[in-house]
Amino acid sequence: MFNSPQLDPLVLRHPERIHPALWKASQLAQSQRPTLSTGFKQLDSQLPGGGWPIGSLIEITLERPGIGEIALLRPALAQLGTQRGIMLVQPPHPPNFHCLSNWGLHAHRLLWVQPGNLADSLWACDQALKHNACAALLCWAPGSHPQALRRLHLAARQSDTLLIMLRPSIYSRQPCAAPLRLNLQPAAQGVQVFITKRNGPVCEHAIPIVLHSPRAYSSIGASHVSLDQSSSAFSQSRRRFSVLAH
Amino acid sequence: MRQGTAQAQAPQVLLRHRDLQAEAKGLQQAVLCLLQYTPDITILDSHSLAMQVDASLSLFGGPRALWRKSEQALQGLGLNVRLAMAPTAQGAWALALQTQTRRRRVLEPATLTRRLDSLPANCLPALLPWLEWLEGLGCHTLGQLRRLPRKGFQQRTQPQVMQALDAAYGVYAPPQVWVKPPATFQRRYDTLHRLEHTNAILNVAGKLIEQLCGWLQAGHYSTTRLLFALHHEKGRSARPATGLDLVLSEAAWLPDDFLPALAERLNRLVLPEHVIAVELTVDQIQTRAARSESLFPEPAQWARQESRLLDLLRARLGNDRILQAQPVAGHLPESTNRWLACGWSCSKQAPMRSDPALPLLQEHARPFWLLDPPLALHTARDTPVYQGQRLRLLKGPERIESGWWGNQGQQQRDYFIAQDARHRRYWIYRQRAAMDARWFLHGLFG
Repeated sequence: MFNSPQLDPLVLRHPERIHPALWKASQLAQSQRPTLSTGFKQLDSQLPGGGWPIGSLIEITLERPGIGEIALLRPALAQLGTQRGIMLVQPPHPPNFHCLSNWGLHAHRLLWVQPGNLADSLWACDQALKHNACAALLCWAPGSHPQALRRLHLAARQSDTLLIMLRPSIYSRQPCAAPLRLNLQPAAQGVQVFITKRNGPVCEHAIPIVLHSPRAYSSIGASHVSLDQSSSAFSQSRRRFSVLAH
Repeated sequence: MRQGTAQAQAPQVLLRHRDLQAEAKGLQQAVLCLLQYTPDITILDSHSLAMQVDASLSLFGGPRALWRKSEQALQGLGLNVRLAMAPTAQGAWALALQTQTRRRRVLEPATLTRRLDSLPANCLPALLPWLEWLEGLGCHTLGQLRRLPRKGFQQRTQPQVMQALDAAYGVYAPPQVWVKPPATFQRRYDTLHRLEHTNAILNVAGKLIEQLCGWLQAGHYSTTRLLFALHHEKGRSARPATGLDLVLSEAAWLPDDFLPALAERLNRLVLPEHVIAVELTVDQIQTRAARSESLFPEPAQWARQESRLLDLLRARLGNDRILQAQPVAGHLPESTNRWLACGWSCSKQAPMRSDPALPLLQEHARPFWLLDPPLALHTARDTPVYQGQRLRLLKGPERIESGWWGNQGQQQRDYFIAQDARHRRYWIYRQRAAMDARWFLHGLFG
């Protein structure tokens, strides 16, 4: 391939043909690891490998829990196999199982681990990654040091777990070993995703993600009508109760 | 040799009384520990034992690997051992007793014959009563002994001498009596020092677990529960032994299955006093289920990994820190959303199918985060306010009235989905029955 001392310009234009780990700063890297589609086309097109990398630390910073962060992950979680569970480590509030079953995620085993302090949370994540026992691991560990995050990232590389660390947005300015870092801002119909770090060019614009259509929250007066309409779309066999509990 | 002579010849020698009981105990420990590698162990004399390993070689990765493993296991027990490996038990015994060379591993019968020929006659314990007589004959090595006329030698000694010689060279295979493991397992390890740290206890417990695993292996058993008793000093301030139960969610029989969880349990343990003995009892045993050795991961293997992980987490964090959803049929969200501590058998449960307890609602009808307890909201100009932001009602009301039988009394709530100016959505309710209709924040849409 390199017979002449001068490099072929075509090769320089596509460094990934020399080795898959190489990429130019102006282009998105090819992912070394398998990826899982996020379920949102706009976001997939901006991520290296076209989705969430599996076996790598993903950091998501958000100003406060409850702005649609789990809804953003929901399509990816739904794609995971049900053989292994989903583990939540130290979530900020009790998760609502009814919401998960509405989302169709009730077949996944859900484990809620509440260690009580930061060191135990990180230890629990580390052990879960070493055992490779969960399909997805969502960890809330505010205040963890960059070294601890690097260690988690290295542990994640030995596993095939979707590891997502959710932290307050003040940490988005701090260094972090995660190859993919996102910042979420609430928006009218969902969230705005800012990619703060990725293997590729700087992403300057926000990516709008629609999580709920405007029809879902039409005006108060019309809500009964919309409820009735959409409820008829459900299959009859799975519904035992009326939608409105009286 | 007398004591005085010995000390005159080598003043640095430490003289100790021989403790026959401790020797027998050490041999017992070694037998139990080595049962992990083969069921065929025979005791040769008070400080020697032989293992027949030809059936275990391929399982443990060949003679070298098996040698290394058993050496490590015996050193872990704190025993000084001299190992030898040979095609015959007597031959291996002779190789272990000789002091000419450190090479004690022979695999070929022809090599064994050559090596035995050059060994001195005192390497065969059966020859010991005739040693002086043999010296007088000029027979120093086993090879010279074999060149003597067989019949005459047999007439002048006892028949078992010739048998031992033949057994060493593989001419004659003597019948062996294999060790029978005890019916129950209860072992106590008296430590040399008073133990103050849990790390030291882990070391001692590791020795006991090695023996336990040998015993389990011999009977093809497995167990889920180990009972440790840490004995404290007797005397004026005698206190009962500290108990430590190690419960695993899946029956196990290998040291690596027990040790990590035990280490985490011991890390959490606070010792009330010095420990002078550690006792291990196993009261429940079951026949083991075969493990799949297939190359690709299977559902059962995932489940095993998960139960191992849960055992570890439970050992360090406590039983009540790992929760699993157990929804209850009901209308009140806080009573429906029941999370229970993940019990010992939770990993064996099938994943929850579409649960009849929960009606299927619209995707956005329920929030992901549920606040416990609900947060009372201020109101300003008849609209609820959260963190200084007025909440605009998007959708509702969804009326939930239930729970008159419960502790809280009848709950009459109108639930709304509300939004603030920054588009964050909230699940709030208005308490209807109260004298003043108050607003509460009950959930966040994650």
